[in-house]
Amino acid sequence: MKKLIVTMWTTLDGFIASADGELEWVLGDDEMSAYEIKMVSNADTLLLGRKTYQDFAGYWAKVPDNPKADDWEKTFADKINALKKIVFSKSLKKAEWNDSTIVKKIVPEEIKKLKKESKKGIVIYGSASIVQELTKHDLIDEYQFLVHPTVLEKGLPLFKDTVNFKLVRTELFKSGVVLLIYQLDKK
Amino acid sequence: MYVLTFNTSGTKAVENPESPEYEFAKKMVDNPKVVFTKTLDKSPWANTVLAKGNIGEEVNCLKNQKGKDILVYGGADFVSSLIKENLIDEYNFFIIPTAIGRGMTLFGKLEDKTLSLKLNRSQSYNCGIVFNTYLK
Repeated sequence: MKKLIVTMWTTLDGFIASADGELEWVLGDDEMSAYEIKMVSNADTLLLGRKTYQDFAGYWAKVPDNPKADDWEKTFADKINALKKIVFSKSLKKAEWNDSTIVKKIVPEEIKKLKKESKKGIVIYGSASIVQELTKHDLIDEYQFLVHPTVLEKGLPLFKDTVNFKLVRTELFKSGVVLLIYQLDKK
Repeated sequence: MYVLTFNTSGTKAVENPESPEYEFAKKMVDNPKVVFTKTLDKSPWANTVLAKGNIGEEVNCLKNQKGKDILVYGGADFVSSLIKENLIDEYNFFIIPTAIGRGMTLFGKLEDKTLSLKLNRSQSYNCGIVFNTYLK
């Protein structure tokens, strides 16, 4: 069975976006680009909530035709555009990004089936509500938090409830980002 | 030397040499402490002086004295005041492997200012805690 991995930019005080949803504190550089490209290269399936799906589809689907896009963005776009996508939404009628399927609700057995069918791995970007629900059902194998050296004081938290983790390993980026990799602590 | 606000000062561990906290408590009691307060008239704790003046002037004066470094523990509002006056040189954070969804903010009163720091070093412990130090 392949891994289901959550990857998330967070601030030092644990927020995934500022109160108005902005990500202006994110430190993009060669190391971050390499991390993101590796993440989508090691996956064949992408799980997203409706909002992140629309943001990503609106951006990444257009990058290959955008002459101003960076080289890393083109590489990342080719990979992410080719992934099989599942978008969880009760309201969405159409999902036109390449290889997308709309699923109305999270059924744990269906997620387990996806993990069995996946040949490379499954990734979730953003999508806090989806991450919360999958966490409740203990379906996420790894949480990768890219902790930025920024304190926001207020913003959007990833979780609403208490979640305990086990540290797997850490990695440092030159930008000051600390990558913390956790699994759920089930004890 | 320590700088403290009133509600974080106080311990009795130093009265019990058998306590695993004794060594730490002894240092806490013996080291000079400065407590910033508007209401306190005297300190019940040994080796403590009260500071009632301007935070920036008082702390810069302490930093200019000879001796070892200065620590500040807790006191989110107090730390916010020190940050606003640009007085903190190094931040030490222990990242516990638990998400709590909601809780107290880190510093409390930064007043909508974002604080950007520089990572100095990072160390992880077997218990899952990651200890990061940052510079201003």
